[in-house]
Amino acid sequence: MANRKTPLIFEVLAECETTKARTGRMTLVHHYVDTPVFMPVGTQGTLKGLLPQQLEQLDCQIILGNTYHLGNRPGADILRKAGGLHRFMNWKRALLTDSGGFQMVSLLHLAEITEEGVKFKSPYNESECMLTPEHSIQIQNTIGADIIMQLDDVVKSTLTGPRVEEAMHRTIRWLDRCLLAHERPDEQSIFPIVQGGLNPELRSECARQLIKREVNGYAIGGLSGGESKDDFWKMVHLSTNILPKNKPRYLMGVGFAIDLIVCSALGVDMYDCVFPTRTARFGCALIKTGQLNLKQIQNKKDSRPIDESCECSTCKTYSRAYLHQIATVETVSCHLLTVHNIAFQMKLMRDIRDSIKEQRFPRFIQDYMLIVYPNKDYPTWIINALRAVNVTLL
Amino acid sequence: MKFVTDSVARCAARIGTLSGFERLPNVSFETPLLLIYTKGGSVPHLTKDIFKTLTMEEQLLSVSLPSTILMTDAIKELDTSFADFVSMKEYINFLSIHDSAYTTNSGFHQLDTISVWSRTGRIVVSANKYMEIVQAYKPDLYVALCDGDTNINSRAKRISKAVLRSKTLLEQCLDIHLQSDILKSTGILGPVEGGYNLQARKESIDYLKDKPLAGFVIDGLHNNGPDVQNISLEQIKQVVQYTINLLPIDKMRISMGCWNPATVLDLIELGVDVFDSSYPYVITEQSQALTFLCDHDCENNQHVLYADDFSPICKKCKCLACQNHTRAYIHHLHHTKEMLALVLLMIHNTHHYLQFFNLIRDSIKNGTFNQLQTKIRLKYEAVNSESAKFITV
Ligand SMILES: [Zn+2]
Ligand SMILES: [Zn+2]
Ligand SMILES: [Zn+2]
Repeated sequence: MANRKTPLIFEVLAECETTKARTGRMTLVHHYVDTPVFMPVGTQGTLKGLLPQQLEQLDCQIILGNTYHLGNRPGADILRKAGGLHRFMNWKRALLTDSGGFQMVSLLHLAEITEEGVKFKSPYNESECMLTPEHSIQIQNTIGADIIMQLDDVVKSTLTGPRVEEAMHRTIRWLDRCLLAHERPDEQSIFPIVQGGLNPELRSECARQLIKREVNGYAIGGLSGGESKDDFWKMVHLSTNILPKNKPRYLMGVGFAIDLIVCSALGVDMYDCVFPTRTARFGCALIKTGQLNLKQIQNKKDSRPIDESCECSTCKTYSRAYLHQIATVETVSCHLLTVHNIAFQMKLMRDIRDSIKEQRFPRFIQDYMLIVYPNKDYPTWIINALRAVNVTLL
Repeated sequence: MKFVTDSVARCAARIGTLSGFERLPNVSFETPLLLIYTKGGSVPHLTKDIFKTLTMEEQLLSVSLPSTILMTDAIKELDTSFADFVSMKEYINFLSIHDSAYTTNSGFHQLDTISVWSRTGRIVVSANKYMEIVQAYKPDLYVALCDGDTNINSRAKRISKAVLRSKTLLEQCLDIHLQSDILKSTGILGPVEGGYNLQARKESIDYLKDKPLAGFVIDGLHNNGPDVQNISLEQIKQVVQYTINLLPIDKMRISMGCWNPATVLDLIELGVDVFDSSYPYVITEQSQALTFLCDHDCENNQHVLYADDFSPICKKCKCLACQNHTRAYIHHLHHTKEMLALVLLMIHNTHHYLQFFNLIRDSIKNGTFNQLQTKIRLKYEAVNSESAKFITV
């Protein structure tokens, strides 16, 4: 046991003296990751038209792959022959995969959850299939990501009643099956997922159970699915209060700038979301105040870049006027907006990390919120969430 | 703009130099030259930084109206140039009417106007309107407005209409060109029309040859689009040879369209100097990877990509796609309809085609052009030799 290599070392480099925010470095088998981190989603072994070296240039240290999609195509057999996803897509830095369960439940209406696993009809040949915790880990072992996810029992975040409690307990049972099935503990870390819907008792109970297991990090799941923002932040706050400080905490499916800032103040270290890349496909660029839809006519004669202060190759090269012409028409426009949107997320996370390190994170939050809400009409959930970690908006 | 060739034969493969562009005086190109095909101001699928990793050299970009004409207002309003507007000002650009990669709709001719098909529909372009666009774009080189709507099946009446209309349009364009301050140092090219009718070709050249033109575009052989790759030398040899024999030796000759590599070599042998890279783009859109230059075991005797083939498209290729990615990965990207498949194919195919033109120039210089021609012709003529030319993803 003493000689066992650990595939994840997490060092907290600085803690905010006011909020629960911290900045650190996670050292994984393939690369280090500076936290808090946003992880772009490369569903099928590619990030929306960008080459791996473009992602490196954008300073991406870790990206996400979807087990459900990769298991279908190219399939575990090809990935095994390729020597894992890293080699298959020629990505030399860190990877994280989800369990495949969430996608199955959200994409396939025919999925049915039993104690054994998630039962579903194959979208290809209608045959009955079963994704068990063991099977999920087996595929994720083949894909070979640095961080892998337990199969969890996901219920709609707004659901209440006994099903939520059942899902929470089952998630814990499934975690134990996942840990038992894990064949590459020296190279890959399984993250358990805190469930429990919007019920504070269930969530606390789930978190308390999970921290008894020997793992390298934790995820907070079942949120970001249509629940009220007030419920959302409270569940995050409560989860991070229980999860150990010396391990990374990953909030699944969150990626809007405001949420990233608030949740970092609540002590979250990792995020993922398809939004920055998806919105690029529809001709939208991320800016501090929200989104810039380049299809809109006011961009037609605007010779400024998307964001004058942005260092990305798109902003250094192209005008809004040109992007207006090609947005949603040429694939190049999608690549250019994806580059900018990822650069935007990376810059935001870098700013968060730097401000935590320099003990000016509260001030950073105040300034950023003022840019987004110049009339100070802050949503109450933001005011409340930040007040919970001792930050008052200007 | 200046074109120099030391060729004395009228109809032969030749080396030339294109230089003296006022906007970028130090830039020069050797012919036979490949114009880089662009659509909407960019090389399809490639952001500028990726295009730069593909070639560090100076390039001459080909720009056409269908994918760019809607930008005219913005370019005028911002008082800029096309090159600047699309952020390609370090490259020389060449404006032509139709898009070589897409079949041009036939018909819709009215009086002395030409129809351009933009994303939003048909736009009628007169000589006046065209010259307004040219003065807004400020290209380094451009073709006079013309009616090139002829092909091997065109009847005499359509051909004579095309020649006549093109003559009128050229005169109108040239009038404006010669009076324009903006276009003082811009080269205007004369489109030679006449379909496959030799007499009509002669008529066309007769009115062009004394005009102050920077060179000639041998137009009216096809209606653009992917079908052009299937046109064989037999079909065009007589008319191209006849046309070039009537053209002055000291002027550049351009042939647009996605000719296949064997036909490109034949056209070069007949004395054509400039082509465009719509062929590698069309091949990319067909989900194919070019391998026609390979004389090693790259093709693996297969003309489809396999899901578990972990070798690159070409083992000897130095392109970014072959250096970093496998056939299996490209196959996967293609089958999951991921955009990166087209990015990687476009990188490889464009690289392959630029290499082809390097080889062509070298072979003319060292007297091995005919060997190259024989080798490529074998690949394109052989029956069941798909794999020799390209691999289908
Ligand atoms: Zn940018
Ligand atoms: Zn090869
Ligand atoms: Zn290649």
